[in-house]
Amino acid sequence: MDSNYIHHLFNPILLFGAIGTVAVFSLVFRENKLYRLFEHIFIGLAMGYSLGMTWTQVLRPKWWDPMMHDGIWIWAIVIPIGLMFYGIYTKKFSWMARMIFGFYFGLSAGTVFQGFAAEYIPQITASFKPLIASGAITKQMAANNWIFLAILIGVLTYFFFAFEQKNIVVKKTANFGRAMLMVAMGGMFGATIMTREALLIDRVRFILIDWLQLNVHLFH
Amino acid sequence: MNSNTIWEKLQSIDTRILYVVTLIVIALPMLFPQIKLPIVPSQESIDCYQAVEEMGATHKLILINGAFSASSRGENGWQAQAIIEHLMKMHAPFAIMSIDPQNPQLMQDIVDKYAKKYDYVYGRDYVNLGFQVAFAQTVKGMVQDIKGTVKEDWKGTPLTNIPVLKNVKSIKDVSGIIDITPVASLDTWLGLATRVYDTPLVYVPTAVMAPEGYPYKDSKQIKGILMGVKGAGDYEYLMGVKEEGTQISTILSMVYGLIILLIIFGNIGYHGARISAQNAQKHGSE
Amino acid sequence: MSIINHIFAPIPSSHPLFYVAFFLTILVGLGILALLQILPNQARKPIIALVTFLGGLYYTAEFFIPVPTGHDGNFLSPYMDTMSNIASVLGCFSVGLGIISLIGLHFKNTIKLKASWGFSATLIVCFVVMTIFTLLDQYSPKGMLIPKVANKSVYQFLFSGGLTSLDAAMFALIGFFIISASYRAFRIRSLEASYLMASAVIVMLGQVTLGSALTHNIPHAYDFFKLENLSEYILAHINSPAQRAVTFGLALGALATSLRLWLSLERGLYFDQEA
Repeated sequence: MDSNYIHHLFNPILLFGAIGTVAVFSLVFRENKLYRLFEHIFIGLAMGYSLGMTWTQVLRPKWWDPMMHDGIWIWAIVIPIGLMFYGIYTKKFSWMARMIFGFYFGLSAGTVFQGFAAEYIPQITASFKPLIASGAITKQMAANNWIFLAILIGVLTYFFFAFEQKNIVVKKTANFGRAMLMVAMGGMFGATIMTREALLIDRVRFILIDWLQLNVHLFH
Repeated sequence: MNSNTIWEKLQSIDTRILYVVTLIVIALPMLFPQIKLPIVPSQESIDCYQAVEEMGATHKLILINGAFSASSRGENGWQAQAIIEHLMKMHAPFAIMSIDPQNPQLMQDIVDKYAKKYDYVYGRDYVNLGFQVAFAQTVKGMVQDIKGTVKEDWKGTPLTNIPVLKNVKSIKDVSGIIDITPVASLDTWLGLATRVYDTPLVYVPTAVMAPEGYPYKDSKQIKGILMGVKGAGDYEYLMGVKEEGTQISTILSMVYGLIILLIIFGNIGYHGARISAQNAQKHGSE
Repeated sequence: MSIINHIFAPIPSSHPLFYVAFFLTILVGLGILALLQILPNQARKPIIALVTFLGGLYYTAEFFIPVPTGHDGNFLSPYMDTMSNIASVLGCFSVGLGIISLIGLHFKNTIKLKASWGFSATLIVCFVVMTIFTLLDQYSPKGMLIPKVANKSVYQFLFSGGLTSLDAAMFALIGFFIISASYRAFRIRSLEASYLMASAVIVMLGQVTLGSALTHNIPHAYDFFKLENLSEYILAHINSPAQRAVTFGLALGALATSLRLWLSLERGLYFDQEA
C-alpha cells in the first residue's frame, strides 16, 4: 500500500462519511448505540445547516440588507409579525399564531386558482383525442387513443362516489378502471424500487469506490 | 403444520443473509466493471435530450431548479451531472436555483467538476441563485422579475452585477426550465410559470415521481421526462459518455434480478405451503 | 400612491431618523398586537378569517383582474416580487419553531441527565458548530476564518463528510427494507395482485439493461414485446390515463379545499378551536 493511498483512506471527509454510513447501515442488523450516535449527529448538523442557510440565503439578502443597507425601514414591521409564530408556546397568545398560519393558508390558496387553470385545463383538452384513423392519425394511434379513453373513463367511474354504483354497465366500467389502476400502480411500484435501490447503490459506491478505491487497488 | 417443510424454509431465510447477498450483488459489478449490458434509451429520455439541445441552441439563459438534497443525490445527482455536462458542451448559459438548503452546494460541486474542462466561469457563463424559501411565491415573483425576487446570488453578490443575467428580466427571457426534483415541484412550475410565456419545461424526477409526469408529457405541457438513474444512464449514452449513471444502471439490473428472484421464492414458498396445508386437511378429513 | 411612496421612502441607515423609524415601526407593530389582544374573544375568529382572506386576496385578484392590451400584467403585477419576498421572509421566522422544540427537548434531557443524555448533548453541540461554520463560510472572506483540516475547511468536513453522507445513508436504508419486504411481504393473493406484480416486473425489467438484454433477440416484427417497449407502453398508455383520472379528482378536491380555506369555511379540530 503506497503512502498516497493511506493518506486518501484517512482523508477526514471521506473517513467520517464512511464511518457514518457504516454506522447507519448497522441498524439493519440490529439497533445499536453507534447508529443512535450518528443519528443524533445528523439531526444536529441538519438543523444547524438549515438555520445557517435560512439566514445567509433568505433573511440576509431579502430582509436585513434592504433594511439596514438600503434604508427600507418599513421591513422592521416583519419583526412583530414574525414573533406571532412564537405565540404558539403560550396559552394567552396562541391565537396570534393561528392568525399568521391563516395568512399562509390564504397565501397558498391564492396561488391554487391560477395553478388549477394553467395546469389542469390543458389536461382536460388533451383528453379529447382523435378516435378515427384518418390523415396523420394511423390505425395504431387511433387504437391507442381508444385504450386511453377507456382507461380514463374507467378510472374516473371507479372514483365516482356521488351515487351507488348499481347499474351493471357502471359496475363493469368501474371494475375495469380498478384493474387498470392496479396495472398503473404496478408501474409506479417498479419505479419506486428503482429510486430506493439507486440510493443504496450510491452509498455502497461511495464506500467501495470513492473511499476504499477497491476498483483500483483490489488486484494491484 | 410442520414448520420444517421446504415451503416454510423457502419463506424463512434470515433477512441478514439477504442484506449481505444484496451488498455482494451491488459490489460485484462495481469491482468488475467488465460486466457490461447494452443501454437502450427510452423515448422519454430521447425527448428530454432533444429538448435540452433546443434550449441550449438558443444561447439564452436556462433555468435549472435543483430541489434535491443528499437524500436523493443517488438519482438526481447523476441526472444533474449529465445535464450540466451537456449544457457546458453546448456552452449554454444557465442559472441554478434551489428549493432545498443543501442543494446550492451540491449543484455547485457538480458544476465545479466540469467547469475547468469546459472553461465555464462563474458569473460569465452561469450563476448560482442559492436557496429560495416559499417556492410558489418565489416562482410567481420570478415570472415578473427575477432580479427583484431573488436579489443576490448564493454568496451575496447582487444579481445586477452578474454578467450572465444582464439581459434577463423575467421568465420571458429564459429559454427553458429544467426541474431536477424528488418532490412535487412540477405542479408549481406548470401552474404558475410555464403557461405565461410558453416556456419549455423538462422534468427530471427521481424514478418514484416519474409516473406522475406522463399525463403532462401526453398533453405536451412538458417536453421530456428523465426517469431516475436509468434516465441518467440514457442521457450519458446519448451524449456519448460513460459516467456514474451508466455504471449504476448496470448494477441496478443485478439488484432487480435479485429482487425478482426473492419475490418468486417468497411466492413459491407461500403458495406451496398453502397447497400443502390444503392437501393435508383434505387427507386428514378423509 | 406617490404620498404612500413618500411616507415610506427609504432613509439612509447612517441617518439617526432611520433608527427612529425602525424602532417606531416595531413599537407600532407591537402596539397593534397589544390592541388585538385586548379585543374580546368573540372578535378573534373573525380577525383570523379576515387575515386569511387578505393573505389570498393579492394572488387571486392578480390572476382574475384582466390584463390591459399591450401589457404584460395588470396594476397588481409589479408587486409580485414584493409579495414573494414578504412570504419568504415571514416564512423564515417559522424555522425557529422546529429548532426551539427540538433543542428544548434535548436540552432538558442533557440538563436533567436523563437516559441517553450524551446523545442529546452531541446533538446540541453539532447544531451549534454547524450553525457557526455555515455562517462563517458565508461571512469570512475566502474562508480565512475557518480552520482547515487536511487542506479542506471544517465547513466542508461537516457538510460533505457529515451532513450529506449521513443524509444519503439514512435514505439508503430503505433499499435494504425493500429487499426484505419483497421477500416477506409481496404475496400474490388475488387476480388484481397478479396484475400489479406482472406490471411491476415488466416495468422494472424494462427500465434496466437486464430487460433489454433478455428480449434483445426478439424479431423486429414483434418489437412491441421487447421488455423496454412493453414497459414504455405501460407507463405512457396505461399509467398516463389512470394518473390523469386520479389527478382530475385531486385537482377538484384541491380547488374546493383551497376555496374553503381562503374563505375560512373549513371545519375540523384546528379550525373549530376556540381562539
